Amino acid sequence: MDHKDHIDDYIAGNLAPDQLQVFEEAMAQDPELRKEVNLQRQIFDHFRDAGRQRLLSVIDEVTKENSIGKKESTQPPPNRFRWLKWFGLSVFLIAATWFIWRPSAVQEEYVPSKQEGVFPPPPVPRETPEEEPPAETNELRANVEEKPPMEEGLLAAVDPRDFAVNPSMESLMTGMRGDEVDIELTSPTFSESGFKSKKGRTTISFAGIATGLINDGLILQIFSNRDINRPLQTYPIEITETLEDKATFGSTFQLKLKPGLYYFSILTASDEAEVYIGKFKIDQP
Amino acid sequence: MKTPIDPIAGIRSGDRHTIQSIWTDLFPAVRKWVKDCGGTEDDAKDVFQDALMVIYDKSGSPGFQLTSKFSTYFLGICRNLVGNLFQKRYRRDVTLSEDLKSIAEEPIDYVAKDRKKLMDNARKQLGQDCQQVLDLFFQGISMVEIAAKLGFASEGYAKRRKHQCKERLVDLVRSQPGFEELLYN
Repeated sequence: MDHKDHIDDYIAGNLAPDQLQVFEEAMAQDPELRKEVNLQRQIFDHFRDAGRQRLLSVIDEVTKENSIGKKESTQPPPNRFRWLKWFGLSVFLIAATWFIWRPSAVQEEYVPSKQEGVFPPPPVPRETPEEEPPAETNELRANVEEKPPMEEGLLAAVDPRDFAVNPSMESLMTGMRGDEVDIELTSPTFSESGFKSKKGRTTISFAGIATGLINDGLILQIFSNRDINRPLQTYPIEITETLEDKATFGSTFQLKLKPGLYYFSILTASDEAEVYIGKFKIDQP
Repeated sequence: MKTPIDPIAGIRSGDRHTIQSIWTDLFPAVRKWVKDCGGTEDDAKDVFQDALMVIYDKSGSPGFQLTSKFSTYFLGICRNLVGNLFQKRYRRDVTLSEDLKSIAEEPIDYVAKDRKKLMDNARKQLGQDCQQVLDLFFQGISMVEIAAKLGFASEGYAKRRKHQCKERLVDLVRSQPGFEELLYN
């Protein structure tokens, strides 16, 4: 057979196994055929690359055309932060309104019918503090001020997104299997009730048994539920005991974290290979 | 679904209408997945593009056959790409800096550039009809389809035409200055 007729099929991988063997034997014996195959392969690659480039430019055009008028581009989904912005603005306005109108509100409380037969004094403007309001007014104001201020209650509200699960991390958690090191974690165990913090600090132990090669310890990285690209905190975890290929590890940390859901990753210190991904929650105080 | 009957052929040939149809029908789903994972609109576009390129490359392999609906196949690839994207991103800065390092260290391949120029010149010297035949042939489109697309009388004629055009192309490549140094070394 004329082997040159089979060059196309050889390059495209369309030769049957027996034909392939014959063709490769022929190439091994015939340097001219080898050269021809090499040349035609380069032509093939060139045209294939030209096809890829053409497709890429079409995709680019279609993408651009369909994106006209959409300015979301490189920004994260905008409604995430828009909500926070409006929430913050609302809190500010409520707080500001309360602060501005607080004195007159107190005086209006002074008016009611408890003051039998007494004509209520005219409202005292905030700008004239030299005019002392009646003693009862002061008492009433004291009572009002002892109540939890309205804006404090609002400001203390926790952003529910701090507790939202991150689907990306959740999928990694379920699929996480170390190649060389297998981790059986005894602490922390995830609980919906979460950890309690004291004075802004939460004490959590990270402990368990590692099976596999642990040469120089483990590293703990803690991530917020929103940014899984950058660890908030990184700590070494101590190996407490080693027996053959098993090692127990455990370290306790006082973490300065606000209430929310957090993910953590345990890596081998030697090559920073991830061997475990987990999560924990810190409750509101 | 407004996607054409054979979107694979459309992707292979870089058909604009096909790409637009795939965008209209399937991009919203891709965008939703990406955004659910905390990604951006641009991430979604990258996934969309990469998925099409994966299909382009896979469909050129011998024995490729679509065994499911195109939308199922496309979205399956996208789902994998979304997973890979965020897994890679999760692996943080190391990936990025290593990527940049490799790019920085990569030498400019002037030989490859000259080789590409030589091939482009040879291709341009072909007649328009030969360029069409060879474009379709190198995209992996079957001779039956080439015959139908270009209005040839038979598959046999398409084969002969392809053979003639390829011989002509090889001759043109050989006639380019610097051919020996660029292609035989």
